[in-house]
Amino acid sequence: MGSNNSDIRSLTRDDISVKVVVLGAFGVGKTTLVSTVSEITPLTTEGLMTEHAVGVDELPGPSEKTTTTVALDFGRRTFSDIVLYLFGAPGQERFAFVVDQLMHGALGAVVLADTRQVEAAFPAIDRCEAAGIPFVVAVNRFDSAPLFPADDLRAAFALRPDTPLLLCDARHLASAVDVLVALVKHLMARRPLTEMEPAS
Amino acid sequence: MRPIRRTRVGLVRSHTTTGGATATSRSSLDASTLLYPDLKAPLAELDPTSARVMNLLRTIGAMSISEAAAHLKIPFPFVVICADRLIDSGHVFAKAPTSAEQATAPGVDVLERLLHGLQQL
Repeated sequence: MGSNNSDIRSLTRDDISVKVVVLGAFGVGKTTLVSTVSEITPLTTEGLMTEHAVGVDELPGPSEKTTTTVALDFGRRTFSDIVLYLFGAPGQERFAFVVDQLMHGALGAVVLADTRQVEAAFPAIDRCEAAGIPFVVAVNRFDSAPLFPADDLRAAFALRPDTPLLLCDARHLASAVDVLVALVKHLMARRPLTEMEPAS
Repeated sequence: MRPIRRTRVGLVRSHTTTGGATATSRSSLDASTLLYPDLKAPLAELDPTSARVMNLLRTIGAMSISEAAAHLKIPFPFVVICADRLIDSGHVFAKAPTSAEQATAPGVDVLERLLHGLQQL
């Protein structure tokens, strides 16, 4: 129950929360990334899937089951008055309903990819683009995974030129932080240029 | 470090938990919305799940909806429904997460502070 986190400071009314969603295929390291950055023992909560899952997750035989759940692992990190929540969510189409809800109100997303199964990241990238949410693609380095030049990976993922792509090792804090830094800088670069000095 | 996995002890039909509600009037309540308890509001009139949410918040302190759901081992959409009621009844003060749109608005330095915090790690 995360009760071993007694050194974590309690939240005050001055705190503000921000949310980043970590998307990617099963086994790509979403939970690892969340765990690496989190200051609390990562927790699991469940979202509900309803009509969108019908036909995909239907149980054989007569059943009245119309809802099923999808597990979301999440963690938290506090910086001064900012509380960062990181949610790991499956990128597959059948979880779209829950994931779209989760992406709503998020600062941005990290799509985790694995060069052993490049195409497994496509649904997550599609989800981000469809939702219009800023994202970075982080290729999690696995020892057995082949290395490709960044340009080849960009082409394989069909990324827009301004979408950051970087390599990471989700097990290491410095590397996981680099991914989040890239996302925040990407957000800053998207800031609208509205503050022009008035002509005098 | 593995996250804590929850095992289900029993099944309860979803609307039993929420007293019949299946949706909330607020679309802004989010898994990362922060809930702050009113420490003085009476708990006697609350439904059991909302009372559990309040007891948790009073014991541990303010936390997000997702954290409350994980601690209570119930799906977070149910906590969203409880939170919606608790806001209406004045038991809870809620603070929505800062979205990308808000964070990139002129004069807002959330991104700078977040970047600075990350770079200190």
